[in-house]
Order: sequence, then structure tokens, then C-alpha cells
Amino acid sequence: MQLTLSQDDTTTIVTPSGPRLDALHTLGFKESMRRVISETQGPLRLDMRFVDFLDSSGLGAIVSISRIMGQDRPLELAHLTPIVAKVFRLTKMDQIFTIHGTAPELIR
Amino acid sequence: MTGAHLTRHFENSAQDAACALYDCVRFVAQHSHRADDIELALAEAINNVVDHAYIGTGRGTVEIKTAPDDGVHCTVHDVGRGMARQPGSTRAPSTDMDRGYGIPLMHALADDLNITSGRDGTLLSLTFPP
Repeated sequence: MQLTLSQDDTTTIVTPSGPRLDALHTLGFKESMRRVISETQGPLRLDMRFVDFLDSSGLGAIVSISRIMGQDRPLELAHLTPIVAKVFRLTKMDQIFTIHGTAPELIR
Repeated sequence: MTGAHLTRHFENSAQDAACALYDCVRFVAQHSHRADDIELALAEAINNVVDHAYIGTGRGTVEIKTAPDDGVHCTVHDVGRGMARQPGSTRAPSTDMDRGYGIPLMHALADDLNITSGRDGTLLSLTFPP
């Protein structure tokens, strides 16, 4: 899975290419994110608009990345597609992470 | 209209598990409007086998049965070492742990989830309404 980086003021926006963040792709995603964390400063925003499937492995990876970043560097999420948003809602992790917007063009 | 049945074995590898899930999703999509929920729940059940059942080689089996007025019944079975513990369906959200979301997700997605686990392996049964 490829990650595209862009900048919005002090926040680095990381956009995974998707389409699945599951058990098969979690390891590569975490390794790539570790590099991003070490090569950037300030808050990160994970733009999930191209990720249309997330399982507990993928959720665990995001939680792990958040913990690696620590309290001084917030990890936020944006543009959750419907199934990804459902995973966050059912696990109540939508109460933990700041989530910006949805991906209206992808809602079916 | 009669029911349909799929049996798919998979090896203890993330690659084969992903292929098995793909086959299951293609089957379920023909028989249920809740294919997205079933895909996610089955992903968790299949991952459970790969993550916990075996040290080394092993095999799991997914069975899916559908009937027009009886919904979708899925079982995922392995003959591995069993599950050490079965987390409850609810827990306080936190970033302290990056594992343990699978069974709560299955509980939330399926109408009924039963887990039988012991030294002879684990059987997860999930039921989804029509």
C-alpha cells in the first residue's frame, strides 16, 4: 500500500492508496507509517478516502501508530468510507480519535 | 428457491485466508443484502484462525449456508490449540491495546455469535438474518 503525503499548515496529511487495510496489508502499512512518523513533525491526519475495507487488524495498526506517536503528536482521521466508519463506531473508537468529514462521493 | 451451501478450506496463512474470504464474499453477495457485514465478520473469524489456532501449519474451514427465509449461517472451524480466552462483547474504548477488537466486532455485526473453544480447536458460528 502506497502512502501519499501532503501538508495542511502544520498537519501532515497521509493518504493510503487502499483499497484494503486488513490482515494482509497491516504489516506494510505500519512499516510505512513508522517511516512517516520519523521523517515528519507535528500532527498527522490519516485520509482514509481510498480505504473501503478495514478489519480489526487494520484498526489495531491505527491504534498502534497513535500510541507510537504519543500524546504530543495527535493522529487524526478524515474521510472515512462507510464500512471503515462502521468499524470505528462499533468499536467505539470514534470516541477516541478526532475524525474529520466523510467521503460523500464514496457513500453508496 | 432452495438454499445454497459453500465449504472452503484454507491454510494457516494470511494469503490463503484472504483468498478464502474473497471466495466467501463472492458467494454471500449472491444471497444476502448484508454482504458487507458478513464480509467483515468472516474476516475476523478467519483471521482468528490464522492469528491464534496454530503454531506452524494448520487448516481452517469456512462453511456458509443460506436459505431464502432463514438468513445466512456461517461457521469457521479449526482443530488448533483453542482460544486462550474469549473477550466480552463490550469494553471501554482506549488506545492502550492494538488487539482484541475482532470478537467485539463479530458480536456487533452478527445477530447471533457462538464460540466453542477447547483443546480440540475452535468453532465460531455466526448467524445473519434474511
